[in-house]
Formats: sequence, structure tokens, C-alpha cells
Amino acid sequence: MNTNESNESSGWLLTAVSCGGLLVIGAAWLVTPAGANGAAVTSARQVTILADQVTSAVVSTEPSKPAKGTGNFTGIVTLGGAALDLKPKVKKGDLTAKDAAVCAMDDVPDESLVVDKSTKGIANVFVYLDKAPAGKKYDTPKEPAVFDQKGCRFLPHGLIARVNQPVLVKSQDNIAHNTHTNPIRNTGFNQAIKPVESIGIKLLYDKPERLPVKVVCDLHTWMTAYHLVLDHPFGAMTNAKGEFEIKDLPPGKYEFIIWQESIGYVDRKFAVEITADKVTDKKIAVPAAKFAK
Amino acid sequence: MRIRPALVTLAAVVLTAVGCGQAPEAAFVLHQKTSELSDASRGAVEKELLNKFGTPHQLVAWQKFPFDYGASGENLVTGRNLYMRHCLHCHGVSGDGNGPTARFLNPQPRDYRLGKFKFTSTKSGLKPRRDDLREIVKQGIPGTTMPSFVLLPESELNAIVEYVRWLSARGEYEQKLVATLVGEGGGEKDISRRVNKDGESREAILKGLADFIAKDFVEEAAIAAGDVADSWVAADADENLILPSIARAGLDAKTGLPTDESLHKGRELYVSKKAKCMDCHGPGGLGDGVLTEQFWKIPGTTPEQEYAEPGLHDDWGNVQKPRNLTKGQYRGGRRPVDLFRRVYAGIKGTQMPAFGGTALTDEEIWHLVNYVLMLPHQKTSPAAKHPEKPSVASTGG
Amino acid sequence: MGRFWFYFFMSAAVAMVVTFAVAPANNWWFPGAALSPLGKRIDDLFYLILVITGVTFVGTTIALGYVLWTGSSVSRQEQSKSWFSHGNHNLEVIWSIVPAGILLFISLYQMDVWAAFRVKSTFDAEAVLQPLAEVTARQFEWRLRLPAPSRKFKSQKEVQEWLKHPAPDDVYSVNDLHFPTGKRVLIHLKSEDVLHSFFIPKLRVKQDAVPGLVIPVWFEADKSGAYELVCAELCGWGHYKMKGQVVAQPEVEYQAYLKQLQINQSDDGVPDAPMAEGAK
Repeated sequence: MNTNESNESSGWLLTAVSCGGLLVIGAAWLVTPAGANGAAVTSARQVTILADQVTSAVVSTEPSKPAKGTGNFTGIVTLGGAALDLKPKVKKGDLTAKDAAVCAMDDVPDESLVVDKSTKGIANVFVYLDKAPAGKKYDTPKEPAVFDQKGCRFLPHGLIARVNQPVLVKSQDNIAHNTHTNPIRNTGFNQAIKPVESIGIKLLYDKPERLPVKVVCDLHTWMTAYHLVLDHPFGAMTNAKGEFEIKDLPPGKYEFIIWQESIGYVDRKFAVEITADKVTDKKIAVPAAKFAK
Repeated sequence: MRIRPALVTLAAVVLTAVGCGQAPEAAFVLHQKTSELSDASRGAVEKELLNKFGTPHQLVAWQKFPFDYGASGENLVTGRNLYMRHCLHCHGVSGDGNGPTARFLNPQPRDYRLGKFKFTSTKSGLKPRRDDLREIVKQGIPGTTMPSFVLLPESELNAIVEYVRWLSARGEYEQKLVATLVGEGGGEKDISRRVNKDGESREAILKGLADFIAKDFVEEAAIAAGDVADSWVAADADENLILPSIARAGLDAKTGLPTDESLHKGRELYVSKKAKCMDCHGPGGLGDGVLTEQFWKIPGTTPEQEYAEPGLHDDWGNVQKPRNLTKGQYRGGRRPVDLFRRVYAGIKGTQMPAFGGTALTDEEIWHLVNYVLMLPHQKTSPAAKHPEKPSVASTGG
Repeated sequence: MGRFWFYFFMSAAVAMVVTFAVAPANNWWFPGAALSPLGKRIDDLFYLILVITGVTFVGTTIALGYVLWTGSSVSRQEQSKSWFSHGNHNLEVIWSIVPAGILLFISLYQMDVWAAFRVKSTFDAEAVLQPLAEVTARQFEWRLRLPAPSRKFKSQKEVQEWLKHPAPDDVYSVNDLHFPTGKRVLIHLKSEDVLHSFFIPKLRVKQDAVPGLVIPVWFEADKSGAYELVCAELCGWGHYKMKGQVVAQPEVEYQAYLKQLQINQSDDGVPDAPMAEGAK
């Protein structure tokens, strides 16, 4: 009895501690103006509604043609509402910043939400299939992916790697970084990267991950990036304009995961039907209220 | 008033026989995250754990895992009995680091369920070898409340190590199942949020989950178990053992102690841009680097959340002070090879990264090890001896 | 009731006397024969006190028995006022002087043994100059720090310095203290947290470890073997598991053990490393 009790009561404590953070955020959500709150609810509905309505196979300006017998999935993820004004994480020339000589050479932008001014498209949103279409296996690309660091910033901010495809972790900075991941399925990576690492240290994911893996640098705590590991080629990340393209999907019905780092799932099961030799285009709007802190 | 001797005697006899309280009932407890799942999801996890691992009274030796259960599981039972006697007070029945005495301890006893162990001889990110765990049980961990069990016979040590590995696998398997179900939207909070905020129907969500548990969950669970089993096999593979490519460099042949030249090189590396030891361990090795002063984000939280206390945290969410290197206390062992491995592969579950093969050569690591080993033996305080304060002394980030 | 209380108290007393006569021979509750010369002297003191208290106990029991026997034979009708001894000056002088004399005798008689165990000036000079180890008790283990095998202290000052500042070539161990048989050895006892007590029953050594103090303790063993080292001060919930051992072994074996300990500690993970040689 004693053992159980102590476990339970400390469990409560743990809950209290770990949920403390959540509660604060939850509370912040509650105290936002009613209007914003209401918008959050209605426009959250719109994510699916919008998607369902805009099924028109709009051919984008420069569509690449799908391979024979397959279809492409393209689209744009946009922000519904005013973009947030995010301050840079490190200001240019800020001498109080850590390792300022390297890290404050230029602004280090806050990339938790990158919105294009003209299209309102959100960059760095992952659109992907959780699993490969049934029964299919896809070869691993031989070319390694490159994951660089410059000005105390990861480049690129988001990366899609394939299972067993080496990711070369490089650095152009004249200061050490340490690249640290905590994946669910793969072995964690926590390596010091020496200044000006031009050859690259091999990071290998040998198992697919369901969600993008957060990459941090413990020496420069503002540095973050995301790696998505797939065992198939059907994943894409939105570009600076918020556009994405997934090529050569076998025809059929799919449920895509749409994921953004600040809010997590934009949609768990975004239903899309792909028809052969056609490009399916979707517009996905994410309400700005979702990003309200 | 007369005291009746017979009555007093009777009371004494009864009290002796009955005792003052009931013996605690040993049971595996669910992880906090498991109890936060929706009912059906939690039930699925509970059922899976019960089938594959049993209860403390009725253990199940699942052959999926590369553990030495003994021909008829007797090794597991021996391990359990010894664990219950020696380890349970702090590490808890479930190996969750939450035994009855845990609340009085700092640092907290290891929670095995993350499948991470700090002090290993294996490469970066990998689990410990059997030898590593046995060595920790034998030597204890100075600076923590983990005592030494060096006088236990080797066979008992092995049984304890095997049981700890089994408990760890059980906990990690549970965590992976929970992660899978949370990924499928099985978290109770998540469901409430979707129902209340996004206006989805609870029935539809629960039905989707039920479908998943009925169909795909078995396969996902098998994959998760395979991942855990693989990682334990990998840990014991010889190619993953760290052996320095060169013997300890920079030693004076006469005294057997590091030369001044080596210490100088070590110091240079310590403050260098490429090792950046002092960002955490401080310029004088006191464990007071700039990174200990700031607030850190909790990994795995979307949106990001911060820890309530400033300072580095380990993967268990406890404040993790970088080691004060001037104390001469080495938790993972004080042999040069132990320190070499700490630098080479980092300390698992903490922010101490791996330097070996990437940032530092083996020879450089030896100089650094020499420097660190000699830090407690400097006549004056190291900070006084090396007064140069780095330009990053102010908090950044 | 009659003579019930007479028989009750007398049978209890007889049982006690018999037990005390039989127990030492059968090693009941006794840790066995002492394995060190000082231990034997401590045992002698113990038996001396046992005899004194035994004789006193038997004497008082006979007196008690006499009173119970005669008192119970007085019939109720004959009951008269008791003899009232309270405030009797002579009696008080007697029962103050006699025990005080006995106490004085014991305290004088044991002085030599106490001095040998506790007074530093009587310690073996060689053992004092060349301490075996620093023993740090903590919840719940004994941490040991030994000077390097090659280390020869030249003065007490150097030893004190070593106690304050560990040397880079020190050798470390835990719960397992080795020492040469037949030689007086000295440890310096510390505590990291709470009160502990360094107790080797077989060698009759028991000394509290007090946080903040460094207490020198010496011991020796006539016979080689491994002896239990336990904590004799309730120091916390894990007190019972704070167990180590001291191992007395012939000088040659002890030196070999020490060397091996040093080689293990300087392990750099490279087989047949020249440094393992150099460290010697």
C-alpha cells in the first residue's frame, strides 16, 4: 500500500508540475478576447470545410507533370488573419548575445511562424503521409541531405530525410555548435560540431518518425530546426510562399498529416483523392488565432 | 489501580504477531502519460503490458527481448527478489525512480522507463552495456545517494542488472505505446480540446481510435518492441564500445601524472571555441557556466514551453547542474577511460554532447581528460589561476 | 499467593545467571573471540565487569529472596509496621561508597586499554606516519581513499595536508578495506552527512564518525581473513545495508592488491598500455 500511495501522490505532484506549463498556456488562451476565441472555433472548422470545398483541380502556374499513371498533390498553406510580429531571436550587433562575434553578425529570425507578405503562405509546414502506400517499398536516395549551420542558425530550418539517408551536419560558423535531437523511434543524436565543419558529421535515422524531430543546439538555445524522417517519398515542406508539391502518388485516397511547429497538427487526417495523370491542388488556411500565445 | 499482567502480556503478544501495519502490496504503476490517455487507449496499453510483462508477482519473460531470463525464467525471478530487497526503496517497483524514499533524495533516483542511462561505455545515444550497469551497481555513484553494492556476489549483481534492463524495456515499451496512441489522438486532453475548441464529435474520434486499436495497434506495438529490443542488442555489440585509439597521452613517464604541456593544451581546449566546455562548466570548472543561468525550453512540447527553474535540465526534467570539476567527484567512474568516454560520447539524457570523432581527436580528448583530472589538485582555486573571464560572461540567448 | 513472588523472582534470577554462564561459551550474542591483542584486552575488561555485576546481582537477589521468603511467612494477623529505612544515614553512606569504590577501581583499571585505543601519543608511530586510508562514511556506504602505494609521508604535517587535499595519485575504493595482517594500521574517519559508527566486531573496534571531525582510529588483526564492517549508529533508513568488509592479508598479498587497485584505476582503455607500467 505504501509503495502505491507514494507513487500515486508523487504522481499527482508530477502532474501538477508538468501540467503547470500547460495550464498557464491554457489560461492565456482563455483570457484572450472573446472575439479571438470565437474566431478560433469557427475558423478551426474552416480548415476542413475550406479544404472540402476547394476540391477544384486548380492547375498551378507551373505544374510539373506527374509520371505516367500517378498523380501529384500540390497546394498552399496560408494564414487566415494578420501575421504575428515576431522579434528576431538575436538582433544584429547585439553584443550581449552569446558568442556575439559569430551569432549577432546578422539577425537570427524567429522561424516559429514564417509568413510570406504577398501570398500569406506559411513556410516550413510539413505535409506528408504517415506511412507508405500499402505494400510498397521505396529506395533510399543515395545523395546525402545537408544540414548546415550559419550565423548560429540551422539551414535549412526544416528538412525531410529518408530512412537510412545520411544527413551531413555541417557548420560554417567559427564556433562550436552541438546538434541535439530527441526522436521518438530513432537513437538520439547529441554531437558537438567543431567550428567550420565542412565535411559534415553523419547523422543517420534508421527508422521513420511519425512527427518531425526537433533539433536544437544547447550552446545557442535559440537555434531550432525540424527533421522529418520518412520511409517513402510522399512528404513535402512548404516553401517561402507557402506552396508544396508531392509528386508521383499512386492514384487513391490518402490522409495527409499537416504539421506546423508552433501549433503541431494543422490537420491529422487531411483527406485527398489522387487521380492518375492529374494534379490535385488544395488551399489550406490556418486561422491566425491558432498561433495566439 | 491494578495493572493486570495477563492483559498486558496478551497485548504484547498480539502486537508482536500482527505488527503495526500491513505489508505494502507490490504492483507496477502506470506512467503519468499513460494515465492521461482516453479510457480505451489506456486499457489497450494496460492490457499489452500485462500480457507481455505480467505483474511483480507473476512475471512474464517475453522472448522478444534479448534478456537472460534463465532456462525457465529463474534469473528474472532472482533479479526481482534482489531488486525488491536492494533497489526498490529508491527506484520503485516499476523502476520509475519513485520509490518510498525518492522524495527525500537529490538527485532523484534514475527512472529507467526512458531507456536512458547516463554513464555508459557505448557510443553516442546508445544504451549501456551490461558491464556498465554492473559497474554502477558495484561502485555506486559518488555525489548521489546511490550506494555501492560491491560485496554482492557476481551472480546476484548480474541478476539485478538483468532485471533492471527488463524493467527499463517494460517502461520504454509503455512509453512507445503511449507515444503511438498520442500520435493517433488518444490523449484525453487532446480529445477534449478537439471536441470543445474544434467542434469535432467525440464519438467519431473515439470510433477512429477504437478502429486503430483493433487493427493497427498490434503491428505498431510489435514495431515498438522491436525498436527497444534492437537498442539493447546494439548496446552490447562490440563495435559500439568506445576504446580510445591511442593510449592516454601527455603523461610524465616518471611520475605518471600529466605534463605541464598536456595540462596547458587541455586548458586551451577547455576554453576553446571548438569544445566550449566553459559555457556549462564555467571558466574555473565550478559548473557555473553562462548556460546554467538561463531558462530552458522543455523538449518535445508543441508549442514550446519553458521549465519553471533556470538552468540545464536532463531528459527526465530534473535540474541538471553541470559537474563542478574541482571537487574530484566523478559519478560515472574516475578511471581515465571513464572520463574519456564521457567526453567522447557525451552523457546520455543530458546536454553534454559527444565530442569524439567530431569536434575533438582522441589525443585532444586525452589532454582534456588530463586537465579535468588535475583541476581538483591545483593549489589555488582554478578560477584564480586562470583569471581570464570570457567575453560571453553575460547571459546571452 | 503465598510464596508465588518468591519463586517467580528467584526462578528468573536463576535463569539469568545460567544464561550468562552458558552464553559466552556458545557464542550467543557474542561476536566470537577477539582477533586482535587490543580486542582481547577489551574482552578481559568486559568479563571483569560481568563478574562484578554478576556477583552484585547474585547478592541482591539473595537479599530479595530472603525478604520475600520471610515476609510471606508472616500471617495477616501478625502484620505490624515495617522497618522504615528511608533517610538512614549509615545505609546511604554504604550504598554510595561501595559502588563508587567499584567504579573508581574499574576506571583506574581500564585506563591503559582506553589509552591504547584512544590516546594518540600511545599510537604506533609508524602507523600514524603512514595512514592506511581515509574512510568517509556516508549514507549508506564507506568511501575509501588510500595514499599511492609508493607514497611515503615524511611528517605529520604532510599527513594533515593529505587529509585536507587529496593527491592526484591517490587510490580509491569503496566498502572493501584491505590491510596487512599483524600490523597496526591507522585510518582517518570522516562523515559526509550524519553520525555513523565504524564498527568491526571481530576486532572490537568501534568509533563514531562525526561530520566535521577527522578521527584517527587504529586496529590490527592477528589472523588473515575478511571481517565484517558495519555501521553501529542508526544513520537513516538504509542503516542496515551500510555494510562493508575489512580484509586482513599477508603483506605480500596486500601490496599486490594495492598495485592492482592502482592499475585498475589508471586504466585508459587501451590494452597493455605503457602507462599502466608508468603508473607504478
